[in-house]
Formats: sequence, structure tokens, C-alpha cells
Amino acid sequence: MLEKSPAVNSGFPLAPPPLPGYLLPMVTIHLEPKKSTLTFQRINTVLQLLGKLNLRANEALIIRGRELLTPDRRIHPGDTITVRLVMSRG
Amino acid sequence: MKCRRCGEVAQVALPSHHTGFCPSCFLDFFRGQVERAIRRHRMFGKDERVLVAVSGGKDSLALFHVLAELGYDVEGVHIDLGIAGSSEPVRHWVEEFCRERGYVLHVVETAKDGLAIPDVKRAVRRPICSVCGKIKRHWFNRFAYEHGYSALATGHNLDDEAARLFANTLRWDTAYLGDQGPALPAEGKFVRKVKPLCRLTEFETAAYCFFQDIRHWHEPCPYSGGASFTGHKRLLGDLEDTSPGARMAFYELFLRNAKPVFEAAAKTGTEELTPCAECGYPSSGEVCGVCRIRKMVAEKEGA
Repeated sequence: MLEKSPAVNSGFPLAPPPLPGYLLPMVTIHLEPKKSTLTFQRINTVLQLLGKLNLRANEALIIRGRELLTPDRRIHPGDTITVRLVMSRG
Repeated sequence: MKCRRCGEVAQVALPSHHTGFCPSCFLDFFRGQVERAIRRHRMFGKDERVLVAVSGGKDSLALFHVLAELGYDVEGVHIDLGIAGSSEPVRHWVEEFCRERGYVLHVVETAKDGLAIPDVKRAVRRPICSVCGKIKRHWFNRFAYEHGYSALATGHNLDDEAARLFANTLRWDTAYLGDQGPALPAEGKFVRKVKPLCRLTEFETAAYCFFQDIRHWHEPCPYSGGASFTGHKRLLGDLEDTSPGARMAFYELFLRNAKPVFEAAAKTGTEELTPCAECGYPSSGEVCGVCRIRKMVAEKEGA
């Protein structure tokens, strides 16, 4: 007797397999006031981003759209983030 | 992270207060800290006219906005330093900010007083930032005094104050330590000087500007190699990162426990100020520093 596949048995289509990292959309980072742009393959949280940029938590505003992100917030593939340094420069 | 007050998603994390806030609750917190500083240090009342020194940076614009929001009688003064390619766009920026919000702004042009900063830079051998600071302080005070304001408010924040305290402590500078604080009383032709943002960090001021849609001037002065006390701010930032609240404790405990001691010590060694023979403003010599600089510029330009 032929066995049916579990996916057909459950009545739900198979979930697509996760994309490999190199196929995920990049995270784009605009740095202010330097006015430079960086891209990263994969960053999961604001804390990771701060670590990559060698910044302390309250050294910069982390901006996504019209909101500020706290260090625990997730960053998604394809996000565009502005990192605005807060220290006065004279 | 959730907002401590309302449970919404927090947008500002404040480790030094062990808390986080959503935009609306953060703005309440910010205004509360300003009110607390004004009240605790008896800076000014709602019936007094206050002049805000407005450079165009985030701190001065945030200060002007929050004091107006809180219902204080404030007007601004901007000093146009006459630096080509820099002073003009900053001035325009500040004028636009005030026009959009209906704030009264006065502009003082140092060039009209024979003190355009490029000319000063050519005439003096000292670092231009210290000379420029002296000229700005002179004109902020002079404008406030001559136009009858009760107090002059500047946008110095907790990071500025703690860094300055750290620098003064490294040198154990009795006179400066005795003078340092968020409120300096009026004396003779010196108007009262106040720093209502002294309980708020640069990060908090920047977040306030973001939520209030205050666009501020980002470009540094072309003559500045960087903000003063930048290295000290970084050191204190590192300390704050490992011990949240250390910066506030350093400053607040100095004000409470140490400042009175330095103030008393500084009084005994202070040289008496007399009116400058040329402008009439307080000076430790016969002619004040600003009038001496003006003379040097005139001589250089005439040569």
C-alpha cells in the first residue's frame, strides 16, 4: 500500500523553506550626521546593530520610519534604519 | 520593552531611570524634568521674561520649544558670527524655526561690533573657540541686560555639565568649581544665567527633538576641531554604560555636597570686577577681554 506524505495528510500546504541568508533583502543603514550609507546582510536586533557600529545604547537615535527603536527591538530583512548620533560637535 | 506608564511599546529606553517610555509619556517625562530643574534651582517664574540663547543646535531649539510649551515668557537671541558659508545658513535655519512656531527671535551680528569671527581669527593667536565663546557670552549677557530680561537660559544639558565638572575636578579648579551649577545669580551688569536642561542627557534632548519634529542644525562650526569636552563626555558615557545613573549622581551630589564648599573657598580668592573703561561691562582689568579683542582686530585690519 502506498503511504501518503504527511503534508497531504495534515491538509495544509508545506511551509516554504527559509531563504538562505544571502538571498534575504539587505538591511540599509543611513548614518547621520555623516551622511553615509551601509548595508548589512543580516542583523536581528538594534543591540546587534549598535554592536556592529561600536556605539553605546544612548549614543544614537535608532530611527525606523516615524518611530525610535529601543535596543531590544527586532530589525527585519529589508528594513531601512537611520542612526543619528546625538553628541554635539561644536 | 513596554512604556512604564501606559504599557504601550516603548520607543525610548532610559537605563539611568530603569525605565522606558512611549513617545507621549516620554514628552511628559521631559517636560517634568525641565520643570523640576527650574523649580529646584529657583531659575525663574512664569511672570519673568527669559531670553534663550539659540545657536540652532538640538539643545537650544529643544530648550526654546519646551519653555514655550510650558507657558514661560521666552524670546530667543541668535548670534551671527559672520563666518562665510556657515553663519548665514544657521541663521536662516533658526529664523525659519522661530517663524514657523511664532517665536520672537533677536539676532546680534558680531560684525557690526567689529568682531566678525574670521577677522578675529586672523588677529588673535589664542584658540579661536575660546575667543568666540568669550564674545558670545559677552553679547548674550549684554543683550539680556540692555533689554531687561530677568534671566538668560542656555541649552547646556547633563552631559555638558558633567563633562565640565569632570574637567574642573581634574584640575581642582576652585574658582570654576565654586561657580559651576545650573543657576548663577544676577550680579551688577551680569544677568541671571540658567540651564533648565541640566537634568536631561543629549540622548533625551535628541529624542525630544525627534518626537516634536524639531529639525536642528547638524553641521559643526568650520573652525571647530570638535565640541569641547568631547573626550570627557566619552569617558563619562563609558561609565554611564556600565553604571547607569552615575553621571547624574556625579553632578547632583556635587551640587548638594561639594559646591557650597568650593563656593565659599572661591569667594575669598576672587578678584574684584570693575566696569570696563570702554563698554562698561564687568571686567577684571581696566578694559574687558572683548574690547581688547576688538582693538586687536581693528589694528590688524588697519595694518
